[in-house]
Amino acid sequence: MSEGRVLSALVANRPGVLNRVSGLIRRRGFNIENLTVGPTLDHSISRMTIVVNVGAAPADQAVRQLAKLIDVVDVRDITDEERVECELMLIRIENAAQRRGALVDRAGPNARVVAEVEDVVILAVNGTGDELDHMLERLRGFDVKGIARTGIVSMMVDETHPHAVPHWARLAERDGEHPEETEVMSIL
Amino acid sequence: MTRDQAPERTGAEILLEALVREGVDTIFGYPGGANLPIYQHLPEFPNLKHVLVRHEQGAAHMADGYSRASRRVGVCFATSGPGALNLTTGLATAFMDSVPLVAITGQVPTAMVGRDAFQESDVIGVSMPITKHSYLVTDVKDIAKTVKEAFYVARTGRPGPVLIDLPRDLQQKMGPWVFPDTIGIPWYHPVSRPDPAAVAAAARALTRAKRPVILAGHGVLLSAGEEALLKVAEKQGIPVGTTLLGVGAFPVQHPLALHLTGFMGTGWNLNAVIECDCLMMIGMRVDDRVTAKLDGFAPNCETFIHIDIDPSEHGKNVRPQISIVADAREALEALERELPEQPYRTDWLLQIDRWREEHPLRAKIANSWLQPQEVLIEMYKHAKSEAIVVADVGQNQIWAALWWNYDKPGLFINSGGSGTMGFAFPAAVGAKFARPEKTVFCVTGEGGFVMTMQELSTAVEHKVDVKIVILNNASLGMVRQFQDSFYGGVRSAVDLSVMPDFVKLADAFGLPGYRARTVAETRDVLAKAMAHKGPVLIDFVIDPEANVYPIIPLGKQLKDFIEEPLSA
Repeated sequence: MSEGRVLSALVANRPGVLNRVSGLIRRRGFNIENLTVGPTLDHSISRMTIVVNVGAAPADQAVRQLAKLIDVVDVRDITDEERVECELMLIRIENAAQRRGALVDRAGPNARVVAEVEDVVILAVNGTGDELDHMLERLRGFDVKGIARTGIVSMMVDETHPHAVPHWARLAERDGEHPEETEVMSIL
Repeated sequence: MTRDQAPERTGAEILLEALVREGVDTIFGYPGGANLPIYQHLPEFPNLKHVLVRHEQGAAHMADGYSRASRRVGVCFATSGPGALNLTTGLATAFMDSVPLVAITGQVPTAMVGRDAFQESDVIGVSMPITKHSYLVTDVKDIAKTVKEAFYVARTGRPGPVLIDLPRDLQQKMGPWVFPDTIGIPWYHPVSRPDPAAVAAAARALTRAKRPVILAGHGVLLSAGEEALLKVAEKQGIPVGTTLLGVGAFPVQHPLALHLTGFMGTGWNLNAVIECDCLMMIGMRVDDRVTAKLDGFAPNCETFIHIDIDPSEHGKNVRPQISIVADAREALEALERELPEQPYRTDWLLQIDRWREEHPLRAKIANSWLQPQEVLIEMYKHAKSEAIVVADVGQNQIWAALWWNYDKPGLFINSGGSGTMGFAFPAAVGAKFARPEKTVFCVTGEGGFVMTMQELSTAVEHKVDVKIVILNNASLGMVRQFQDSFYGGVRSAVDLSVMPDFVKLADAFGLPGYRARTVAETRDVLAKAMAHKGPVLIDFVIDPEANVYPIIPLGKQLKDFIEEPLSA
């Protein structure tokens, strides 16, 4: 996950917007490593965190292409900004009853037992992508039979950072209001 | 007026009224099960002229030709499923060339969507990669605002086609007629004003340069920036070439004109691009047809200046030192104000003149066959700079681009990005609807023409005065030339000697048809065609071995261009 660029996008909460975003990334030849969508405080806007591998293309191409989508309110590359990220993982461990104590010890305080049925334990753990990878390493001696990961969500720490304000809001501030329509002159 | 007081109308009427409000006067379309309510109400709107096409692809290309010729938004209608799918080639063509269209497709009733109903297809899904934006309307109250938004999106920023998919039940449902004053996408803010600092930097770079060159693309025409371009060029005597889609952005007969650039550009243009030390590329994507092999594109250039309204085009292929995200006309006007006058660079301009003399456009006229260049030269004698030439794709396209003096904008129309065969004839019909006072030529090959020739009926029905020029070499000429030059000389699946008798075909469709095999016959039939009011078809039987030159061999650099061999 370290090679990918972390993009944070605000998108209009309209049908098909996920399709538009994922389709664009695919047809421009980038790879999605991770994509999460969820509501924001404004119910007409959703936030997407997209981790994308741009390959040999310039790093900003994915952002510039996404920014062209009419349903994308704002998108920026926050990889190198001061930010936090978090991901949730469920881990299903079989043959766990005998070693439950060792398992919980090994998983550490960051993991919770969220289900326990007969010989099966399901742990929930959150952390950065790397922390979740390390968690799986730590549980290598146990009978891990399945995982479910949400993919990361990420947010910049500095809310006063200009990037935290959508570009259209800044433009609206500058221009006072929504721009006049520009009529293209007729050649007649 | 509030929603409660607004008069109730059907969704179809709301749609049509909104189109009238947007200034639409011509619609190219085809009815079917899922858009019948629109057609039921269409006769109530006498200001909306509807042109019944013979295939939906024709509707999209006609709307495209209409838009390119008039700089207005083109409009087309189609029904659901196959009707909408037939539009897609036309939408993709418009999308690649940034042409503003609004396509309105009927969809199966809302309750049937997703149930594989008769003539249902996922038109939003299919059209997503080939439209600037698309809308599936789900509420009759949203129709008017969707139309307004669609036109706004289509024509602003980098223009492009927008599709509205409208389920049939919403066309019949009653709703309030309210045309909104504002656009509901406050974050959509197409940047058009250039950054003054970048403009100043560009002016300094041009002024400092010893061998500057400007290349102009479609964006200059789309923004009506040709006058500003002329002023910039003349202020310091900077030579200007154009891309295939930029033809017309700078007068070809101007002393500073470099004519066509790129893959099949002129020798003096390519040499100027190779030798320039500062290259300003404006309103263009800098695609592979312009650069050829990237390492050989402007290898001596120290400062690339790129002006384009689409930020994603900057640095996509060539990394510019100076990047101006702006409307081409606004950027050129700002640049003109910033650019100091200075003496013309005589050495550089004389050098270009020498290249122009060393590498003129050449055509062979030695053998007994009629040459395509002769046909174009004879046509030009009749039309000069007053006719619109709509070219198809292939050899005919390049001959029509090179062998004509386009001195004004909007006179050369072709499918540059998508390269859609069959584009020319329906686009020419659309162009004639937009510019009825202009002579309109459709220059096409026999291969491309038969792909959309059913629109002959449309042209005859509306007496659309398009002069159809078929440059008939009895083969897929460009493919044949590529096979000869780049694919081991194996002529495979390019023979088109079995084709209709085009004179008889014209007769069957109800328009005059002529044939010419010599220059004398060419003069004779062109005189007849020019005198005729209404569509006319001329089958020019040309040299089957005629090739397009100059040409850069596939995978090679600009400097490797090949010219027409000198006759023995």
